[in-house]
Amino acid sequence: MAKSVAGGAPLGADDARQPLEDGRQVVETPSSGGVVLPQETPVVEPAASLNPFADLAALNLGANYTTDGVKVKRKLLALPMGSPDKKQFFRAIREETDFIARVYERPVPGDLKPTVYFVAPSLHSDPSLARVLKMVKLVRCVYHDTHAPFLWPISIGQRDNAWSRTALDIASAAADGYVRCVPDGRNGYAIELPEDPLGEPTWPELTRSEWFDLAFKGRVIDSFEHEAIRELRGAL
Amino acid sequence: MSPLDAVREFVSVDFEFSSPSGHRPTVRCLAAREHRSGRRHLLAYDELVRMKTPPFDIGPQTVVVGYFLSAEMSCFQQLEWPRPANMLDLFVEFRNQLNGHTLPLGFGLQGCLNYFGEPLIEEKEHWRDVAIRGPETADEWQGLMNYCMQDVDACVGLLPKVCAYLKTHDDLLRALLRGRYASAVADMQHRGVPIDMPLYSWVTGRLAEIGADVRNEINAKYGVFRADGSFSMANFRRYLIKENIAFPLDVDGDTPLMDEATWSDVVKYAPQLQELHQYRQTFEGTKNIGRLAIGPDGRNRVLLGQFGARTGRNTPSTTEFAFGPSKWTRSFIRPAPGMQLDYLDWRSQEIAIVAALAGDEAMMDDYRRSDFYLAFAIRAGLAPSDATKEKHRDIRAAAKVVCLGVMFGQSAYGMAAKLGISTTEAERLLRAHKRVYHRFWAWSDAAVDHVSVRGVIRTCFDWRLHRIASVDEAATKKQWRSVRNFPSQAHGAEMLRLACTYAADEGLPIVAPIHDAILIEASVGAMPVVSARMEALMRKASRDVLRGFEVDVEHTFTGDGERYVDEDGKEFFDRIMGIVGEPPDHPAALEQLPPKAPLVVKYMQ
Repeated sequence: MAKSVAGGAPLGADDARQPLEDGRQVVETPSSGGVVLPQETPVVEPAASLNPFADLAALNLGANYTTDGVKVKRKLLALPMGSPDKKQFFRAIREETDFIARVYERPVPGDLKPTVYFVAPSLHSDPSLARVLKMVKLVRCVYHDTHAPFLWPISIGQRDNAWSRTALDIASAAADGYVRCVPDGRNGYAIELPEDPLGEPTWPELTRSEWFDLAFKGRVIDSFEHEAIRELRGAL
Repeated sequence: MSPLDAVREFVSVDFEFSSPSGHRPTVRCLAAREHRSGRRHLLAYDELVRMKTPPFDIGPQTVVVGYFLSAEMSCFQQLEWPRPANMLDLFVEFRNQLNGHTLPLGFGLQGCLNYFGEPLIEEKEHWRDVAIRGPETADEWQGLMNYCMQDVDACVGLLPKVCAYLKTHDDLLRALLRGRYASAVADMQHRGVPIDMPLYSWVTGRLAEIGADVRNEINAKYGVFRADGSFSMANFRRYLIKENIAFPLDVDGDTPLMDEATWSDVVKYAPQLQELHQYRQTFEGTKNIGRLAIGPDGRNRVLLGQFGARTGRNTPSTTEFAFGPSKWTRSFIRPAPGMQLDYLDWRSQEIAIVAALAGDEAMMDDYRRSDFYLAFAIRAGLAPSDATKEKHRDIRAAAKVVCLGVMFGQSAYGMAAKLGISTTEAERLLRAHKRVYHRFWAWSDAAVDHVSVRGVIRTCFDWRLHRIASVDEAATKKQWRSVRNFPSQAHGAEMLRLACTYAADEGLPIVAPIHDAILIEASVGAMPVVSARMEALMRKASRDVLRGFEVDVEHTFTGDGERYVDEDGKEFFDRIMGIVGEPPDHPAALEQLPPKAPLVVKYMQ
């Protein structure tokens, strides 16, 4: 006889096949000290296979968090303004009417790029400003890779300038399909087109005025008291 | 209706056993209870060894239940019983529904009972001690078996509570998938990693004597130790400047951080510090060397700690596991005579995972090229299209830091510190990454959104991490980084478990899981076939996790009679061997093993 002990309720030889107080019965098996059977053994019919490998692909929930129903809407608080990145394809919105603005390019000490200010029409005629204002066409664009919107101000004051002329051509082409704008020395910009179509862009949910407001946020000159004007006049 | 209703029978099982460090378990007794029939089985060792199968059904209609089931499966192995068709580990399921939380009594059986308001099991320590030394009297035998039955009955009561979070049959199947890993773990713990015992004893027995010699040798290279052997921080700073190594500094921005985690991170991008790092690990106690858990057969066996990390990765002891301590010590690993080792690892596993999960075609395309980091640099315009690893070493190194850093949300500031470049330059690299892999970024941001909104993130096979609200700013920041990192790590863990499970089911000789790799051992003649099959299973596991996307597998063979070599540790190992010399061919070397304390009988109870 093995020296096993039948758990919390040790069983003697006399206990075999004797009913317990709760009505269950004890039986002996060849190798165990004792087995306690319940009064009734519920029978459960298996509903389906328990083998996870039977159809493992069906158990794969994926992990594409971008399509799982959690929607977070991003609200833009600002938009970049400038020429397109030469490495990225972009599209431009085809405008029914061009939006022409006058801007003031305020030099930034230590930076090659000036800060561009929108100047309110009421100030355009001021002789002290007229000489520094620049006429630009504002083109609304988005990049292909990131869908990031930006505003492209193209100078239109100097039609003989190769940079301006080619930029306008590229902006026009960008209204029809994705293009890339790459510097080409004295020729101005060159245009690069994808060999295969890149599909339609995802445009941001912004009105034209919202677009411009975000692009010129904090950079609107609507008074002669604006610090940029005061600086221009030597007041600061 | 609970998905558990579809199971004809559950059988909760528990063994009591003794398992001294590195040994296979010595089984004392088994307790089991069939849930629906109420049958119970209490058997002592001398009965168990006579049985060719368990005294209960282990067929396809029955699920075997346990708490930290790999321990039970190790006893199955030891008794040479066939493995159950279905396994469900209550530890794993309990952990899964609360992963991320910190529980007052942890995730062990007692912690689980406490969480569900069940009475705790008393006198655990006492009966654990009895199991280790072996019962000596009839009363002790009865007491131990009663105690064993208590654990079983605890599992019977816990099953519906722990598994209440499984709502569908598919949820149950995924739990059974997790449960099957216990059997693979038991396989690996049973085999153990082969250790060159004469070498191990010889070298570890002399470490105390050779510290000064090693220090003097490496000081010629680093110049950071004073004549009295103390570490000079001023000299170390000078060395860092000379080598142009960006080393993380303390909060005052003055003193290099000297903790192990910082050093482990730094040597990844400043490999010239490897030897100094390994010297510190070996002789300054930042890692415990010479405490591997080795059995009398010269095999290293440890509890592999399945699902021990929040990501679901294994967490074996870093001092007792052969792959835990300083990398040079991996050369103590040597295949048994007539055998070979193959270390198969998934190439750039984490990159492949995020590329596939995010559906980022550009990233997947770059992964398929031989050098992902260089492919990124070229795509981003950071390197010319004909760039090579040799000619564009610096930009490749920078690309690697960026590509790996973004996976756990590292900032441009952190990358700049690692690369020794300006933050502006690091931001430029980061922008380039965002531009070329914008789908990855949209997916990674969505993962963060997902956790923000739902409070939980999960893998494809439903391993979960819960976000815990915390007022601790540093903890919160760390948690968000964990969220970013979770998909790559947790799916890596899924892949490893799946591959190990496939291999165990086919009886392949898996020896150890190592993060993104699996070590196998086979005879010289069998290795080509075994190795090829293991690779096929690892590739299949990657396709199963990533819905068809295949992750490459690379091999590192260790031939019969050779020592395992980790490239990062080779130089230091050779230096050590240059000082101590080869071990004399004398059996006395075998007697110098340090004494081992017995391990606790059950993990985390």
